[in-house]
Amino acid sequence: MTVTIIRAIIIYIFVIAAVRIMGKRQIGELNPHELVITIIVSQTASIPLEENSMPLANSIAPLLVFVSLEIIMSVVSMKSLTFRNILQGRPIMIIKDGKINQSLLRKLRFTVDDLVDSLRQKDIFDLNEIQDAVIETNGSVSVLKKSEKNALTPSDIGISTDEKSTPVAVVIDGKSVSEYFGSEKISDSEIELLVKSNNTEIGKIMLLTVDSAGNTFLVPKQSK
Amino acid sequence: MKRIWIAAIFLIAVAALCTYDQLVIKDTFEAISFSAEQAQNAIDNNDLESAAKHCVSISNEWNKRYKMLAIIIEHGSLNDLSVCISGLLHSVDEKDEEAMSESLKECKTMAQMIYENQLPTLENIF
Repeated sequence: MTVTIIRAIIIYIFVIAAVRIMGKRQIGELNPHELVITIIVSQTASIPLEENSMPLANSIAPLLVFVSLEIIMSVVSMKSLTFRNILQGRPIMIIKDGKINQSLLRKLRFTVDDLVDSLRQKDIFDLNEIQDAVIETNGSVSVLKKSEKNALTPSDIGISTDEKSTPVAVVIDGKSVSEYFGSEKISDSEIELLVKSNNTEIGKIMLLTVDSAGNTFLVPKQSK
Repeated sequence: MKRIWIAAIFLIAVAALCTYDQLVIKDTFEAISFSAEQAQNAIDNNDLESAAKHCVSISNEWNKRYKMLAIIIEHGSLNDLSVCISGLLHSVDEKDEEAMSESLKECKTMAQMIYENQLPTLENIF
């Protein structure tokens, strides 16, 4: 039992490191080959937990090979469009100028039910609203609505607005965070000033964000 | 580009481990085979003392290499060979020539099976 637990901890660390090294993707946005690799990595990692007589190296070495090959594939994909198309396929325009391309649907083995289902998940219940629709390489559907069906924007009615920047979290769960997106830096003294301007203390803040215009948004911690 | 270096390091580490794996297994098999042949020759020449020394040397070689082999080979087959070598030592203690000869053949066959099962041949891969 002890051996199994120790193995489980080691495998957990390796799998987390492997997934971290392979890069950030949501499960729903994985390409087919990425999904396959994720499944294979998890299956390979679980083998030593099922058989204590199986050396850990017999699971970790293949895991390292999968991660390495995945990295190499992604680097080659970035350099070569041809390779990328072979590996991931191409996005396909399934609706053009409001008309469904039925031959492409058949070729993709994508039924009308699948299409309508995907459109509903994009909050589109009326196909008349669609100008173009693309099936992406990960199977999701992207939609361009007809211009008269889009919500009105300030530019449509000639109103100019100021650009806003992404608010950056500077206090999370009572602790200051000087580099939330990795490159945005704010000093601890500036964070303290922001906190004081909100008449509170860092330890009492759940979330504090600030944008480039100096606008802050604060969520205080709830008392237990 | 950092990730490609990480990938390269991983692949080199795995290649090194595979090479080491093959070298250790080959070395172990050769050591056991050699000692087993020497022991068998000694038994054929009715030199029990020399045979016993060679049998003990098989056990010592095995004990020395077992820990490294256990990192790379499935334990079941290693344990079978361990049991076989224990039987060999038992027959040495009993001074039973026939049993020693049988055990030597068994140990040599098992070591050869382990060695052949670890080779990167088409039969093993597929």
